[in-house]
Order: sequence, then C-alpha cells, then structure tokens
Amino acid sequence: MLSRILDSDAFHSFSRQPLVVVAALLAALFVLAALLAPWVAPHNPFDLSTVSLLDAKSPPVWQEGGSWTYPLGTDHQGRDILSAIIYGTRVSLLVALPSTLIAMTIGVTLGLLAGYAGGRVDSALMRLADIQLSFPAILVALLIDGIARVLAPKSLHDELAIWVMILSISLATWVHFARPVRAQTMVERRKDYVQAARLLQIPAMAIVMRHILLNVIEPVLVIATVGFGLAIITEATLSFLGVGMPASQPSLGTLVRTGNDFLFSGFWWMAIFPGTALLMLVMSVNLIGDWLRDVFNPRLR
Amino acid sequence: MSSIRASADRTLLEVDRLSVEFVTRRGALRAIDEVSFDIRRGEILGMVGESGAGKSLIGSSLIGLMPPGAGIASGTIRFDGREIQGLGGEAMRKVRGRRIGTIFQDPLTSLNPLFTVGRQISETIAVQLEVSHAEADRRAVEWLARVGLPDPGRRFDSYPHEFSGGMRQRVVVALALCAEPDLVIADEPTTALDVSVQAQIIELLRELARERNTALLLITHDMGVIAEITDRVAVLYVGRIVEIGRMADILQRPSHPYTVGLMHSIPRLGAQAARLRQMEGAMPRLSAAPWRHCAFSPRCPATIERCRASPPPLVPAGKTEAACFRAGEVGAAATAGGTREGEAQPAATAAPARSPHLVVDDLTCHFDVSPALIDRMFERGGRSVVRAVDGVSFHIRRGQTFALVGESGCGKSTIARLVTGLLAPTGGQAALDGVSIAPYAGDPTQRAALREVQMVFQDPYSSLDPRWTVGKIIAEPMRARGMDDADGRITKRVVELLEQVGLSAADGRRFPHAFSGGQRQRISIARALAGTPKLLVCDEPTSALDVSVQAQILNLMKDLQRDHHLTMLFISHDLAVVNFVADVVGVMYLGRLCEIAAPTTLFERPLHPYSRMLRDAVPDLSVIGHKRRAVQGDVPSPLAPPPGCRFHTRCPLASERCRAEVPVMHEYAGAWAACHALEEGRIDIPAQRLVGDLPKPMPEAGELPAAPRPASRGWRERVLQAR
Repeated sequence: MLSRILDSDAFHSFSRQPLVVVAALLAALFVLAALLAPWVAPHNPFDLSTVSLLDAKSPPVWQEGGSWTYPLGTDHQGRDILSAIIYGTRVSLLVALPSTLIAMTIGVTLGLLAGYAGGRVDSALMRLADIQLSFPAILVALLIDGIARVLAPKSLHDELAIWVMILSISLATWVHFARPVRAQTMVERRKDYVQAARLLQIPAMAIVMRHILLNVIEPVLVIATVGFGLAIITEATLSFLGVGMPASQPSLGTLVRTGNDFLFSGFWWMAIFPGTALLMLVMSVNLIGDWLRDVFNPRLR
Repeated sequence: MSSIRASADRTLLEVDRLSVEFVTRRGALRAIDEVSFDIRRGEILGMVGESGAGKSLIGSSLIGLMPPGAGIASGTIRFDGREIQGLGGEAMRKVRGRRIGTIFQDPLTSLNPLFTVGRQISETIAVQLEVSHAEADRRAVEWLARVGLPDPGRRFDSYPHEFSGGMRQRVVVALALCAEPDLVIADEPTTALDVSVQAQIIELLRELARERNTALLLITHDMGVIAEITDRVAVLYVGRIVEIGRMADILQRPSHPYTVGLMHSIPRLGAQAARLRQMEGAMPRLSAAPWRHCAFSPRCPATIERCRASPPPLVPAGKTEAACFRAGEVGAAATAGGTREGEAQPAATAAPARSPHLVVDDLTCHFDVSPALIDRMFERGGRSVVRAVDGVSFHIRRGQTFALVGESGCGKSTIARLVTGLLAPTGGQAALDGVSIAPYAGDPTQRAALREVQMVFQDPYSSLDPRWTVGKIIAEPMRARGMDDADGRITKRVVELLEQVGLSAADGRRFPHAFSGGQRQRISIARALAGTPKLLVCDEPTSALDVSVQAQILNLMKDLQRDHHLTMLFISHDLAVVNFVADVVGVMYLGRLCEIAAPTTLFERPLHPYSRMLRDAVPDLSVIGHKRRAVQGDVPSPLAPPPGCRFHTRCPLASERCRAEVPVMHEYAGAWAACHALEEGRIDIPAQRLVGDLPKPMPEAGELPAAPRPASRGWRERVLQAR
C-alpha cells in the first residue's frame, strides 16, 4: 500500500515541488498544534490564575525586555501571544472545517440535482445561486448575526457566535461547490455509461449516487481545499470586524483585531504575529489546493 | 529555385534513423525507433498504421512541433539537402511556413474562428511569399477558387463557422498550399469527414500535388485513402517501419505478417464473407519496451525464437522491403489472393421467423431548437425544428441483423435512441414482439419489453463508468433486475460472460482504464449480453477502433448473434462493415429511408441514386488505381431540409416532381426504394438481381399493437417511475 502511494503520479508531482512540500508541512504543523493545544501551548491564556497584568505588553524574546517565558511577547492583559495563536488557530479551524463540510454537502447535492434534472429545477436552483452570489459572505454573516442577536438572549450571544459563523459561511459558499458540480454532472449525464444505466431502468437517484457522484468528486476536493482557506479568511474578517468570535474565545481574526488597537502604540507584536500565523495558514492551504487542482486536471498531466 | 524544380527525381526529404523519445520519470519511452525513409519531389508517400503506431509523431517531428515531453533522440532529417532536425525558432518557422505545409485532421480547429478565411489565406501568402497585401488578396481568391469553393470572391469574407466541414477542409488545404511549399504533410486529412466528402478532398489533394509537383506525406489509418492516392506506402507498427514499398505491392503482395494481417482484417464490399480473418491481440504499449525485439512477435503466427531476441532490420523481401526475419516465407504463403477465409455465406443462416420482431412505423423525432420564448419575442426569430428522423418505417425479423447506413446527421443514431427508449419520439411508433416500446407510457408490459433491448455504444471510452470494476459493470444489468448473488450466481455469470467475449476472469477485478479500446468494447458487449436482450442495438460499435481490432469485434458480434439468436439493429457509416454483418440494409438520408435491400443486392446494384453515390464513394482496395467518384455538394442542414425528395439538391436525376413531391417506397426487383426517377423508369432497373426477393420490409396493417396513449413525459419521469 505504502509503496503504491509512493509510486503514484500524485506523490511524484508532490515530491518534486518543494513549495508544496513546505506548505503541507506547515499546514500539518498548524493542525497538530491546534489539536494538541493544551499540551503544546506554553501557557493557558484563558486561565486567569496564570495571567498577570504585570507581564502585560512584554515584547518578543529578541527585543529588549523580552523573555523566554513569552517567546512572542504578551498582549495588553499579559496573555502569552504564542499560546493565544495556538488556541486561536484551534478556533479558526473549528469554524472553517464544519462550514466547509456543510457548504460542500449543500453545494454537491444541489449541483447534482440541478445538473441531472435540468430544465426548470436547474433554472430555479441556478437563479437561487445567482442571488446568493450577489450577497458577499460578510453581508450574509452580518445579517445572520443580526438576526441571531435579536432572537437569542444576550447571555447566549457568545456561545452562539461559533454557530452563527458556521451557518453564515456555509450559506455564503455553497454556490462555489454547486456550480462546478452542476456543470460536470451535465457532462457526465450525457456519457454513454449513464445511458447504459438508464437502459437498465435503474432509478435516477441510484444513477446519480452510484455513477455520477464518484465521477464529479475530484474537482470537489480541490474546491473544498481552496474553500477551506477562504472560510478561515472569512471567519478572520468577521472576527476582525467584531461580529465574529468574541474576545473570550478569540480566533486568529479576533487576536488581530485586539492587537490592532495597540499597533500604533508600538506594541506591534500583538497584531503582527497572529496576522502572520493567519497568512501562513491560509497560504499553505491554498498552495495545497492549487497543487491538487494541477494533479486532478487531466490537461496538465 | 527553378533549377531544383527541374530535376524532378531528386530526393526532397531524407529521414535517416530517426528516433523520438518521450522522457518520463520511469525512463525514456522510445515512440519512434530508427525510422528511415525518403520522399522525392512530387511523390505521394503514404504512412499507414493503427492508432499508437507513431505516425502522427513522425509528421510532427519533421517540422519540430512535437508534443511536450517528446524529443528527437538520434537520427537526421534532411530537407532539400539541409539538416533541419536541430533547427529551432525562426529558422524552423521559415522552413515550416514556406517550404513545408501541413494539413491537420480537424477542420474545425485548424482555422482561427475570429478571422475570415480570406484573410487567413491572404496573410499567409503576404508573410510567406513577401508580396503586397493587394496581391496577396488576389491570390487568396484564386486559391479559394482552386480548391473548389463556389463564388470565391464572396466567400473570401466568410468566417470558418459559415462553412460546412468539407468546405472548411478545402480552406485548410488552400491554407497549406498557398505558400507554394515543396512538401505537404497531411495528417489524417479526411478522417473527420463523411465518405462522400472524403472523396472530394482526396481528389483535390491529388490534383494540386500533381499540378505543382508538390511532395505529399499522407498520414492515415485508412487503407482506402492509401489505395487511391499514394505512390509508395510505409507501414508503421509501434514506432517502426515494418514494411515499405510501392503502393500496389504493399496492398496486393505484402511481405510482412503484420501488413498481410492488416489487409485481411479490412472488411470489403463484394461477396459476403462468413468471417473476417483476424489478428489476435492488440498493439503493445510503449511501456512494454517493444523496441527491444520484433514488436509484432506476440501477435505473429510465424514467430520464431529469433523474433523475441532482437528487432529485425528492414530488408528487401519480395517486391517490398520488410522488417521480418521470415519475410520471404510469409509473403509467399499469404499472397493477396486469399483475402478471406470461409466461403460466402448462404443467403440466410436459418429461415427467419415469419413475424417481425421489431416493427418501426412512421417514426418521427423532431427536436425543437428554437430560442427561448422571450428571445423569440424580442428578436423576432421564429421556431426552428431539426427533423432528425422524419417518418421512418422498417421491421426486423427475429434473429436477423438490420443495418442503417448513412452519413453523419442522417438520423441513424437518433433511431437507435428512439428504439431503446432513451429518447421519446414526436410521432409514429415502435413495437417489440407486439408490445409498443415507443412512445413509452410507463406501463409494466412496456417496461418488461424495453428490458429486452440492450445497446452497445460507439465510444468505448465513455460507455464504461471509470470508477467501477469491470466485474461490477457487467453485473449491473443482473442486479438491476433484482437477481441476488447469494449463491454466487452473478459472479459465475460474470466470469462466463467475460470468457464469452474473449477476456479472462481476472479481468473482472480491474478498472476500465487498464483496457484498450477493443477490450473495452468487449466489456461493453458483455454488459449488453448480461441483460439477456432479445434486441441488441449497436450504434457504430467499431468506428472508434482500429481495423485489426474491428475485425475481432465484428467476428465476435457475429458469433454471439448466432449463439444467442439475437436480433440486431446495427448502425454504421461504413458500407463494408455493414456488408459484412447485415442481413438487410436500410440507407438513410436526412431523416428518411431511401432504400432497403439485402447487402449484396444493395452494393452490387444500388437502385436509389443516393445508395449508388455512397457505394461509388467507397474506395476499392482490390482494384488498384480505381478512382472513387466524388460526390458533388454537401449534406443540407437538417434544420431546413429540402422539400420533396430530400436528396434532390445533390441528385443528378432531379426533376420538378422530385423538388415538390415526397417519394414513397416501392418494390423494384427484390429491393425497396423511394425515388421518383425509379418510379418513372428514368433509372434502369437491373433485370437480374443477385439474391431472392426481400419480403416487404415495412410494417403492414395488423402488425402493430394498438397505439398507446401519447407519451407526454420525458425520460426522466420514466426512469424515476421505473423504480
């Protein structure tokens, strides 16, 4: 099994592109750190008993006044930036992963339906997609956030934040899955193997699930990877704008927002380090997505 | 320049031990192996071989336009005394445009859709011959006239999409020749065209080449084209020339076992053969390093130890040069006299059942291609309807093969889809064993009847789900019928079917991509048989295959039909293939049937002018130097078919009546045809027909079941309902 993977074309193209290898390693590092946050983070930034205001605004270790206790410095409340980044990554991934999965499920289902059924079903779904696309993700999120805030009691707001984010991001991005899946389904539907299945009087639902789904899934993986990066960015943007994750549960975006207030006071590390982490995470995910696109594109093979 | 032209016999192109390799991470794959040949001025050299033989790669390596990853590994290419294999950039571009012209297969993609054809030609002339634009324009019009475009002055300003395929290929020919090159490389110039149009292009190429003493390298898989136009032929097999010689010698007295086998695999018009003599196996893949030994040895009936040890060199053998250790013996053993084994088939294998099995009555299928209502309201465009099938009636008796022939767009594939229920007719009816199957109203008897209809598709690459194993694909029809595999019945049957179509049980565990085109078509046939059909519809089942593989598949289908007593509807554009498989043939033109006859009758003495035209357009391999008669004109668009007899625009016998009145089918000496000229006696009906009377091939009153209620639902509902 291992030797088959090592000998495959995909692995070959992977190992020949150092940038992709670095991106994969970086992404793996982020995911591992996020998973194992309680064990790898030097401090628990949310444990108030360990946070001391005396340590607040301490610079990173290589600057005067920095110490190895807080390698990347601390924020205005004395929390360790490095640990905050690790925990923040965890929150970012926790939002991005389910929202990508939900968007993928909705998008693939509606794309298959529109592509296979065609006609009015297709027109209706695609007009819906057009309308959806005319609202930017941020706007959708602001809208849902607004509704949630009105409906839910104030005490629940912080707890609800993560669900609002997941819901709004998946609603805003399902179209990215639906469109290519629809197009590919229309291509596959015309192929003779589908005609052969129709001749056997196999129900449409079974044809779609057993034959077509597997043949349209490759581009979906690529879109999912790129969409995952996009979801992280959207979440960070929303959090930066203050409608996303609250300060008690900071994601990378929240950290940048809080750090931003101190940026011009000379405490640059509060915003720059979480920002850099965000950049590296998204870039590595996108690089992997681009590579997957190349691997799956038969024209480039 | 003129002094060079004067010595007509001088060698123009000399290729010496040219090798081309693809560099892959698993090492170099040698696609062309030490190929040597030359072309003299004014000579037409044919390069023939099956797909994957490397013939196109030779063509592109001559002009330095190889696909990415390929490179010349060794050898020299001398063009007009100058080595050109290493030339790059500007130097090569000059040779390519000015001295060597190229014609590619697809006339759709060889022209730039954004420029008028006149401008494309004029620009080429202006750049290559360095003349003024006015002069270039003048010459471009001249060229358009020379390649036979009607009204060239006006056509100068037309865009490529305004031309038909044949006309477009004429423009491509003009484009290749307008810079007055010394050599033209034509890569499958007629493959994308219909038979009748093919003949026109071949004729044009031959004339122009002769007129200007231009040498032509004609790359093709089509022996018919080779027979018609070439002086010498090189036969390629996996990147090596296995035989080269004068055309007549290659076709009639080949020495290499591969050439011998190839010539035998080609079905021909003339007496019907019981079986085609076939070569086993398929061409090896490059990854099997076939250049280390004689690449043909695994398929060769005359292989000896030596063939597996080293590649044989090209040596004179008989009248040609062949790369075979046993060339002398093989050539002597298989002269072209015995072109096929087995004797002519008796008129019909068994007395077919009296009652017809499939009855098709006045079947019509019109596609509405009008723009959306809202666009019609604003743009005042009317409704437009493609009359793909327009009133077709025939029937097939049990155990017989009925073939539909015709050029592309004549509606033959639409009939296949109508009969199988994949498409709903807009009128008429089809019935199987007295049960109406089209139009489909969804009742259980109809559903059961339709299950007896299975299909073999044209494209072996899209007819198998790439994500399913072959075993699972073949088992699908049985599972769809609710058969369960508790006692291993399905597994057993799958193995049985695999063996019937010449594959092994182990193949069931592999995925389609591991198989060649011919093997995939075998799988496709096995799947169709798994549904235990009574009627098998085959839509161009061999047109995507190479001749040697086609022979295997055709033989297989004939055997299976006999063993399973299948009724077949066989659709093909290839008259020779139809002649081999069919008991009765229907000739279609623009959605209507014009003649129904037994194949021997049809091809020896065609009645309808269109059948005659089709027959005459088929190149004849046995008569060397035979010119097929080029058919004038193109097929009119089915969007606006001519009134009256559809064929009148191209018919030499068209009269006023033909232009106004639709002809009906009448019997003439054992065949049925719809033609006014025949009816009026303007065509001589051969008194002596070759086979006995054909029973009326159209349904009579009483043969049809009561018409079902009109189907208003599409196939989607049908399939959904079939649950």
